[in-house]
Amino acid sequence: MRDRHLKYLLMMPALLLVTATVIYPLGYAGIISFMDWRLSRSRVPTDFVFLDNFWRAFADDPSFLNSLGVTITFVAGSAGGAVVFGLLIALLLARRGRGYSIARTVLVLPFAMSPALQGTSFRFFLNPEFGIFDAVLDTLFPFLAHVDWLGSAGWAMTWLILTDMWHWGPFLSLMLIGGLLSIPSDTLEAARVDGASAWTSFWTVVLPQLMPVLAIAFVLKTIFSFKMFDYVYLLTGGGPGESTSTMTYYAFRMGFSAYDMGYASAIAFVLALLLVGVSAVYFRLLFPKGEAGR
Amino acid sequence: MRTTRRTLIGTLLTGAVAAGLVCGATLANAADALPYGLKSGKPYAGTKLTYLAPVAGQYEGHEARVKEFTDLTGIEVEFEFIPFRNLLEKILAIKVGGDADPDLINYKDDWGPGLKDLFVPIDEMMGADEITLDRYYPAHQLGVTYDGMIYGLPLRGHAQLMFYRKDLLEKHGLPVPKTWDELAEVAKVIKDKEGIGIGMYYSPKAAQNVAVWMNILWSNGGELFQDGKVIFNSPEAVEALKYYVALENDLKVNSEGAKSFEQYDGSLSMGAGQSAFFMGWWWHYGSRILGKNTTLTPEQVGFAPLPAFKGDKSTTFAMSMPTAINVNSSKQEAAWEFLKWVSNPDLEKLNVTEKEKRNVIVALHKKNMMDEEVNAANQGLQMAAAGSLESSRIFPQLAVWPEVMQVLANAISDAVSNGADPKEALDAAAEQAQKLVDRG
Repeated sequence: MRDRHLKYLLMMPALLLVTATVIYPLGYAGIISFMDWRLSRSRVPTDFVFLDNFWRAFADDPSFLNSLGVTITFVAGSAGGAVVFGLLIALLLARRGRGYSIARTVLVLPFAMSPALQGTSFRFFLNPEFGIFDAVLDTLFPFLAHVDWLGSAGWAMTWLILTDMWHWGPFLSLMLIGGLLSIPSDTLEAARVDGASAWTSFWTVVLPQLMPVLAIAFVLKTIFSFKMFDYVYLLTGGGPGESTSTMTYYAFRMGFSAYDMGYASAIAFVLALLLVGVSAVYFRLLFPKGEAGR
Repeated sequence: MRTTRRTLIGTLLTGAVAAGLVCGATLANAADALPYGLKSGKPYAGTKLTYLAPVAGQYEGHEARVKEFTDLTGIEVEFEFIPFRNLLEKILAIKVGGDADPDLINYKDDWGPGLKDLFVPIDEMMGADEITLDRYYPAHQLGVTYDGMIYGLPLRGHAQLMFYRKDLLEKHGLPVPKTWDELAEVAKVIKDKEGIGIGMYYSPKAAQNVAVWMNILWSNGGELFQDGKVIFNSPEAVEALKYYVALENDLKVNSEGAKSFEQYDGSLSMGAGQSAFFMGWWWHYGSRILGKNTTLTPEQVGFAPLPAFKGDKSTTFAMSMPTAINVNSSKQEAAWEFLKWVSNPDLEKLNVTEKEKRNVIVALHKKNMMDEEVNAANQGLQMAAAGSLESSRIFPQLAVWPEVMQVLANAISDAVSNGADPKEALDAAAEQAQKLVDRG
């Protein structure tokens, strides 16, 4: 068999798997988003309604527009926060030695834990009556003694972001530690010889060389943040009010509470388009024209 | 016509033999007759049924005793338990897939209108076996009836009650509150002296704040809908929400955390000795308030009907969880046999009295609710709940009710947590809900 054909044959199992598990569901969801499918009326999609579901979302549904705003706020906070948190951990642990290796291994644990378990645990930790976080924070900061951590829009969003940072930060730090350890030591040595302070070295030598890894970490985290569902479902239920109702959570509500699968698919599709757009912008920034294939 | 002596004797003998045969057959049938209207002769022996139910002691009790049913009918039943939180998604997946499995499905009554074409109407089967809904309270009868057809039999159901710390009220010489104003006054005294208040909840998560607000609304003469129009932004509804919000923000009679609490947290708070009052489903009494992990004893906890807002009578809210037969099942007759058995009042009584096995308090049959043995085993809880159920109402029977309820829950939460004006919050919610209702 010629090499030209063999490569396609070898790719076939993976292509079939991706088609069955990603392309088909995505395509089907795309089709449904143009259809009327109310589960309370029919177990299958009924009429083709063209752009009605999308029009409804943007022109006639304040809850959808709210979820769009909430999602952007969450993405900005959690992606930015997790990368910065990860970088701080990486700067502390990017050293060679047995102790550092053990610490890096332990870092995998928060990421290995199920988000469902974390969401439920954090809800208990924040309980104003017996939550351990609440008790510690009340002791350290007495002026916060009577704060209901999930009882106001600002705090609920803050804790949603912090919970997500706790999950992702350590994992991102492992990526960044790899990046830090791969920076040629002679560049740092040269900066030191030139009399640069640690702070100056970081900004002028380390950060520029770490930028590709940071950008990839940021893109990855941004994409995952857009898809946030677990913590919203378990920690806040989208509340108080709709202040933490993200797009994925709202799509879930429309599908499984309003039984409107067509509309839920349209919302999910808007999110998918948003993700494609964001990814394109990031990669454009990351790999300016002509560098994409480098 | 002349009748000879021989003819007469022959006729009498024939009659006697015939009568004997009829009596014999009747007696034989009586000996073969199975309890609960089950068909004799095991016509469905060898059939294997599957049953989807949420995780709850009630259903675990059914599973523990299902051998009796198998012995009587030869039908085997496999229980599939799923956390309640995921039950609706599972049922919707069954509906979309057109699955024949499971044969029987337990669901929440207010999901029924949106799911009813997944279920078999059982009116005729009930008629044939002379089973009626009269054995249940009106709220539970309504919960299984949509468009005049019956789609299931209630197997689990809840009344709402107010639980209070009897010992603390006695200690401070306070009466059991009968109105919301009295509750606020009594709770204020307890909070000042003991540092604990009402285990109230306002979180939109699971939308349980709607049930509390609806009790105040109904007691205030308000309604949710009228002739297909959303009217839950009426002056009565706004007044009810203002009061509900004031308990937290102005009167400050709730325990800490109420804004983010759901019902579960409220009962947990009372069980942990952090709240003096809790209003909610009666099942919390058995596991959250007096469970093995709580600090309270039955002597410390009293229960009473929910307070009235205006006047002296409260209209509380009731819910049920019926079991229905999957319309796609190929074993519907066998499934009906199981439904007859699992819904029988004797089984229910066993479930709520055998405390050494599991602490189930939920009964639905009127006769069990008033039964002395049942009440003796449960500190009289069933009798108190019966009073509440007599005047209970259920959620509106709308296909889109689950989402309308969520819209309302968000509006309530917004008013208490984010400072939204109650009138404006309800106006916006009503507009959104009307669109959902119109869309259907």
